[in-house]
Amino acid sequence: MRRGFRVLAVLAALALVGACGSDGDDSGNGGSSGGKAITVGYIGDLTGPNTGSEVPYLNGIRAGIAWVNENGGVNGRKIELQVEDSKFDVATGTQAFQRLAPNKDMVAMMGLNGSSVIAALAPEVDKLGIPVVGPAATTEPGLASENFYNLQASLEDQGTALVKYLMEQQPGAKVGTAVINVASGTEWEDVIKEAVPANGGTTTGFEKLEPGAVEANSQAQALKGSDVVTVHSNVPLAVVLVKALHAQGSDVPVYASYGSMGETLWKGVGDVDTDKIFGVNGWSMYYADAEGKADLDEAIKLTKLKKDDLGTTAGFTQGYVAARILAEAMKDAGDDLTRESLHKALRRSEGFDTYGFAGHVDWSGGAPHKGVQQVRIYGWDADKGQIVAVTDLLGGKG
Amino acid sequence: MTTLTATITDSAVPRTRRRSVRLTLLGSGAALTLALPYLLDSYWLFLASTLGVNFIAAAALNVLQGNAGQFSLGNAAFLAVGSYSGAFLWVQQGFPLPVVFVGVAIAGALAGLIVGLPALRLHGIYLLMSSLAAHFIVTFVASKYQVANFGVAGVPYKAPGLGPLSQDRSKDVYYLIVVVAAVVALLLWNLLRSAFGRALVGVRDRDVAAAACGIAVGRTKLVVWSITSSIVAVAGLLQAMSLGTASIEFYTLGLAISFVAMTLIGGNGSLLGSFVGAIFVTGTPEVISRIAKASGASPFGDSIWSHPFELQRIAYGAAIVLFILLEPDGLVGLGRKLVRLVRRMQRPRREAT
Amino acid sequence: MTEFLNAVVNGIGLGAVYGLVAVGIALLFKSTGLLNFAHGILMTTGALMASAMVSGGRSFWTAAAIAIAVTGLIGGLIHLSVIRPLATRGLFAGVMVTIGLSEVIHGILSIHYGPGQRLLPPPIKVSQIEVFGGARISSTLLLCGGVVLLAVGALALLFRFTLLGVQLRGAAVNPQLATGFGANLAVIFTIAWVVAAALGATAGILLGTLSVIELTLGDFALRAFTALIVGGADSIPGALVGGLVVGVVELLSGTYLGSEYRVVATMALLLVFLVARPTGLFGSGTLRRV
Repeated sequence: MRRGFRVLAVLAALALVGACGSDGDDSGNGGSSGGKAITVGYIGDLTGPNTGSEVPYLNGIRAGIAWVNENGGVNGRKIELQVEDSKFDVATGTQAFQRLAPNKDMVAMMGLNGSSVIAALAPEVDKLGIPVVGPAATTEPGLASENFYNLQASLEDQGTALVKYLMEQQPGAKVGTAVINVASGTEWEDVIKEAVPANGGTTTGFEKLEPGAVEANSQAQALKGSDVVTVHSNVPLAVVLVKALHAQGSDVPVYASYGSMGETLWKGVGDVDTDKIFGVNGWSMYYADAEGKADLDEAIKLTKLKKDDLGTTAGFTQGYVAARILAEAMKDAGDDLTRESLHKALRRSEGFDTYGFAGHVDWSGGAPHKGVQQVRIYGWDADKGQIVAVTDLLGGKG
Repeated sequence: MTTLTATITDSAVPRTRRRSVRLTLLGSGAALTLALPYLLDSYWLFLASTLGVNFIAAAALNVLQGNAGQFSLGNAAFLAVGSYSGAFLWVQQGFPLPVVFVGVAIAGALAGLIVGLPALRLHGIYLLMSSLAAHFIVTFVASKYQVANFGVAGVPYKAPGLGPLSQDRSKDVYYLIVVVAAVVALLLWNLLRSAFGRALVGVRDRDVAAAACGIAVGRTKLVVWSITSSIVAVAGLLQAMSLGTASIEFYTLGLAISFVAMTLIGGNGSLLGSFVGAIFVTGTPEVISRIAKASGASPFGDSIWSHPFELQRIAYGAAIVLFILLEPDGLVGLGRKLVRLVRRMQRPRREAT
Repeated sequence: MTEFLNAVVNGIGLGAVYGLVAVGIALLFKSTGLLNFAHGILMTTGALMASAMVSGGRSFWTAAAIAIAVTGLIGGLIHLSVIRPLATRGLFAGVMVTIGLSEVIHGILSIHYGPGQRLLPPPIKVSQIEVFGGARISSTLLLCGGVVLLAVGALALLFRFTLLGVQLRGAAVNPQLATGFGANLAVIFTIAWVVAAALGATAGILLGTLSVIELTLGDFALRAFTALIVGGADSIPGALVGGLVVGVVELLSGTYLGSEYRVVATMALLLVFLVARPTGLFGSGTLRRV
């Protein structure tokens, strides 16, 4: 009896699979005037703990694509985005990739943020030879692969530029560090450990913050003797740390790496002096006074995005510029737009401009295709309630 | 179709005829399963492999929970034991595949033994809490191991070369999974029908009475924990091979809960239930995202189908709630009721002739 | 010494939050025998509601009061609709239903409130207060301590001196007998759910002011399970004491072992209690055989 049922169940499952298995190509080749649409795939954590930064990033991409489509497209062709959710889960991300992969018309991919997703998918990406533009994680597999074109400044570039800046402000300063207890935290620690003594300062301690922690009393205690504190975590943990430092009477300047800085950091620290809190980031906010601001505003109008959709970090800007750069490269590739010709275009020697929102991007040569190598230090304008740059571009070559 | 179901289910039809029909069905099912990689594209093959792994882990959990009555949230931890001991044995030490499988099974059994020790004295919420604690401790140790040896991105699992039978990675993994699933299913099937299986039920329902009947309750519990955890560990190894990586963020409490949901939705204590439950839980997100795409709703619009990912979550939760409330025997229970209905419909016809 | 005092004082503060969460879970376990895995999502609901109202212009206290009341009502509704039919079904069914509910509500919250982080302003303007020996503690944690003491006190009075309390205690031991003595199970259990959900919302709001509100706020409730076991799953004062113990242990291990060992230390504590004294410090001593 049971076996019979099992067999029936197998047959039913196969029937279901067979019925659905045939429609593998969802890409929707809706051609508009000028030619067939160009398909770009996107995989990101649209649900899960990272949605706060991931969704604005995707919105930025959409805004960039909308602007391009409205302003002549790519040699007359429009770009179409295929969105898949990886749900902060490697298995789902792999599944999402498998869903997009069969589409031979897909010439590029975007998103793929999250180091474990990149690690799982990098071999698959390499197999397909498809360019991935703009992933935000800056870890090993993403850097080692020929097909990944990163945008964000690496932790090394950020940390080194930050430390140099700190030492200029306060020669010989004692630097305390707090990092989130995941592997990128270790990366940041290593950068600080090397850069600080090299620039004449001393390190006072390295503390770990547990994801989801609501207080950082012991860490703040341990960091009490510092002249300045750097933190690399997510925004909530940075808020908790700053509050804890304040509770311990330690009102030294705090510098947050790109992952821990966002409007919520300054807004969330309560009565702590926001003039003492800074961030370091390769990218500015969407309201920054950059040369590309007018176009960005136009793009926002086109996609009818509301303020909430733009997020509280620089993710939106990155997504927007990533899409614009991709479009530019696609234009360069000309009429014969394939994955190979796109690779060539992305690696052009003059690199790409970021419309004033960040430094210059240069992907010429082989892997690693690092992102911007220059950063700015950002502070808070309490009157406007906005993140503003307090320095020009720092670091990088020269 | 009525004749077919009648032939399988109707007890009035001669046994030999029933058996030969069942065997034919079984045979064609097996043939289809083996031929699947050549019929499906990579996406569906990956889904099928995932389904296979889920079935293995759910079946083991079902025996532990449904048949032996040990409520456990430890599945994610045991999967992690499997993939990380596999990381050590295979990725780092490079032992041949059969050795790795045996090693992983042993590691899983040991882990199950340790986690099962509290089960000797604890019941109810206390047993649940101990599996919860086990989950956090195992994942903590695993994350330390991962960061120390492999870094952020996780353990890279290359393709499991099957020697002369090797084709490409996804096919190899699929066949490995199918073989293991068949072995596990047979093993558990026989286990449940043996004296040991009856002892399990005794331990679940009336452990004091079972002890009075001469069943070594403590030893039975430890054995079932070891066996089931061993199986789940092997499933974890297979899963890591299928995904190509093992990273600690994957082994969440939610993952452990999803296996409990599979057993619940499929049918507690039933091997078929594990299979059907795995199909349901693995397949529902798929169905929902297809409907969402078909509805044409933009992912940024305002209709309900603009949020397929949240809808999947709601459907998952609703399924759990509804099955507990309305059909505690799961899909298998529903199926049995349907069969009874069909039989009842057939009976008057026969009596009329 | 200050280091030690700081760890203890802040541990007590954090412990007060654990305690408040654990009291909500203990209340339901004591009255209905159900281990509520949906407590976390009720916490998140309260926090998100309050935050949305504050962004909309209401004062913190009004927003908090409304959010707590509404979440309480949601708790009552949950009991009436989904939990009551499960009366005799045992631990597994109860836990899984609350887990399923948690997923459903999570999805709804996610659609309604969207992704992204929200903020709640701290209720008391002076953000930290100095206590003895140079140790300092956040005022919100102190407030939380006050709230949980109030809650435990009120509940203790309720269980001892009111008809409702007596009926709940009776129903926990023998529901049929309690009905025989005039207890309307539907009513008293619903009230228990309303109060428990309201406590959860309070905890969620206070937690939200300490850091940033995200949909994962409810995961905090899992850590409170340790407090529950340490204190004794069916003892409400025990839940508070358990919370304090867990908080102090966590902070001490953070200071002396290193911050990455905090969660593992509490898990080790949980295991120690499960092995040596599962009924906890103040539990009733009879292991429920379910």
